[in-house]
Amino acid sequence: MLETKKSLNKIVSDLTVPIKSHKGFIIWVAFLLAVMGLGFYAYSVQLREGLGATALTDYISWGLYISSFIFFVATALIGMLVSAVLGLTGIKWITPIARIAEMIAVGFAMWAGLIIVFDMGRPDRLLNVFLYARVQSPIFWDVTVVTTYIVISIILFLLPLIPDMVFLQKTMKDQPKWKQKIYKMLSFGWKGTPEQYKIIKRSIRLLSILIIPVALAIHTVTSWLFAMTPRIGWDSTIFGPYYVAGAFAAGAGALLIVMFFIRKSYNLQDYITDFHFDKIGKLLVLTLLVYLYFNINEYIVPGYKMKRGDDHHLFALFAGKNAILFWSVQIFGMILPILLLLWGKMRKPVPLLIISIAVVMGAFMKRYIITVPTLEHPQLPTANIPVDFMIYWPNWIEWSITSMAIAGAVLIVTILAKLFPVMPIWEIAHEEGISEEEMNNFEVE
Amino acid sequence: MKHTKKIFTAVVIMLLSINVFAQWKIPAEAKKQTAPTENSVDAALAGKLIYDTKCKACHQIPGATGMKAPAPPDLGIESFLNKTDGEIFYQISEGMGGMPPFKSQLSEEDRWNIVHYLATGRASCTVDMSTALQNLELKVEIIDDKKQIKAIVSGGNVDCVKVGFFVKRYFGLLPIKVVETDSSGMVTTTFPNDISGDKDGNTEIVVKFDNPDRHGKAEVTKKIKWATPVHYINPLEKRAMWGVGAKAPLWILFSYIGITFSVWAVIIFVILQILKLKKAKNEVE
Ligand code: HEC
Repeated sequence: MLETKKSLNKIVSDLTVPIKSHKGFIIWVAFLLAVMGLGFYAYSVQLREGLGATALTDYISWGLYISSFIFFVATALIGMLVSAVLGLTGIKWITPIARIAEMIAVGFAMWAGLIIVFDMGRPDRLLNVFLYARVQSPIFWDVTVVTTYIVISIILFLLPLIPDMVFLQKTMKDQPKWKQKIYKMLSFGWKGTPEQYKIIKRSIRLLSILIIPVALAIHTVTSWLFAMTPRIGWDSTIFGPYYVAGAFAAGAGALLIVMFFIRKSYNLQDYITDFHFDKIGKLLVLTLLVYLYFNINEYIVPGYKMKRGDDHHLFALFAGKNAILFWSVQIFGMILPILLLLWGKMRKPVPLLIISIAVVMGAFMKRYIITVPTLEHPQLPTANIPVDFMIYWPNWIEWSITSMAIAGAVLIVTILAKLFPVMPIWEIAHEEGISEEEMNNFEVE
Repeated sequence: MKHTKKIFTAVVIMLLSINVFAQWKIPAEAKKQTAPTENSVDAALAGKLIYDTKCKACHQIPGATGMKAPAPPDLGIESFLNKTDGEIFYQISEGMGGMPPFKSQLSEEDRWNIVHYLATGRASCTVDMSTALQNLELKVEIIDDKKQIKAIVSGGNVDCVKVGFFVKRYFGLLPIKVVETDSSGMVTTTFPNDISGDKDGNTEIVVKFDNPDRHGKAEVTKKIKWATPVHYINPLEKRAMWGVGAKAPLWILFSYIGITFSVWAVIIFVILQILKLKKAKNEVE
């Protein structure tokens, strides 16, 4: 699908030049660090004063942090969708974007774990989660499965990197020592022998299969944190697939955004083409349609019956105090993007970028819509409680810490994309018909 | 302005309705009334027993707070004790505001006895209740085969001593019976059969004098084995969803361990494969 054949030397230099010099990088990283600095300060306040420093209360104890947590886990799932599901079905065009998807998975999964710590009033008691673990608790399953997913994602990121390390070692002779050390270490003695190729390919295949159930589990279990309680709005049997469908949509959106900026700032127009945007755009609309289907089920089934309790909650969403947020999310984050994306002209990079931003923002707020309004309707009878216990809006501490998490995840993606080629050189070369022999004998021109 | 007036009127009406401004109106002849009996140790002690059950909850022990206000006032302060016996008797009988009238609840004798008891707080009073204290000894025997408890009182005048029997419960003593001793200072009581114990029927009983001012503060605690056994089923004891980690249902435990173990086995296998890469290089060269 790449129009003209490229030489190995061109591929290597195209993909390694951004690693060497890349204007704007420092400014971008400085910006991310500044955002994180503010979050760090906010967290120091929260550590000193406890969770009371946030807008969370006894009644609404899950707020922005937990909403962000689900959003992060959701976004991280894209790694599995692209590299495993599409990869295993033998789709070739994912080669240039698979690694980008995996970077997003690593960055967001790691910060998802951290957000849980931010939501703890006493993070110094973190170990108690394990010391006094109860296998009956979905929270414990969640801890297990998030950890597992992070590990698998990291390995799945590193594995296809191994053969590339040789190219890096050869082209990066002028780079700082520590970088070269990393490249050497991560090459695991790669020489390109058939035996080594066999091991790498088999391992990638094995993990690609394994990550499918694990990724489904991570988000299903995250949904169970809610669905395993009898609370109105959470007590739903379709929460697992509902979350997973939403996650794919959010992830596809995030992938498109990252693709857009990496392609632009790394000048990779020859590799990530309009064709790829069109394809991922189609993937986005497909996932959104599935998500829409789950949304219809999730709201029409209880909305038709309007059971006592449900009625309050649904009224607040449809026409009450949460209505503006709810309908903005449903319309701008789902329905409108679907309508636009069905139209081929909208699946070009720039329109896709805008639509994807809407989808991702919608996904973020959707998690909020799932988490908070339910808690605003306490199930136990309440009396004489302060009015502000029933209303929640995150305060600056929560916004700052959440921004730190987002900046942190983006920073991980940025650093990974800066340290390593954003595409697997060896696989691209392979698709260009360059033999393993030729790759092994690669020398810098 | 309008509001301030309204609120003010409302507050005044409210205060009036709870009689804060009300005053004792004691007729002159009631003030002059005197007790039909002389004050004595027996009378004062009888009064104290009633006071402890009927008045202490509101007024506390006379002299404990030393405060006239807020109501209910301390009944051991000088300004109160300066009243005549007749005045106090009238107050107890008729009540006022938060103070309930006792004339239909307590006999005239009882009310006068209370007055006698309160009067012991006066400096001029010569009645000393502590002279009545005998400090008797108390022994308790458990007669297991008859499910009886026997109290033996000794060390003084042991006839007709009221002995109280109690069962220890979580939040205090449950009174069972008050029985008087015979002339030899002994009393035997049969344990009621509806008192619950633990799963083996164990529980604790407490025996003490009903009138500690007269007979002393001796108190004996004994274990008995023949209360009604109660088989309390603790829902936390069996394996259940709501149990602690160690009481997890087996199916969930095995599912968790099985799944986690299998997934990590594959991960570790892949890691070992990666470490094998170096070796694979050497083999070919
Ligand atoms: C429900 C609580 C309550 C109980 C029970 C109670 N009192 Fe009172 N008593 C009051 C209050 C309140 C006052 C103050 C009334 C006032 O001055 O408005 C009061 C006032 C009195 C006064 C007048 C005190 C004074 O300074 O003039 C006497 C005497 C008195 N109580 C005796 C007794 C005796 C004896 C008993 C038990 C038989 C008793 N009270 C039980 C609440 C109680």
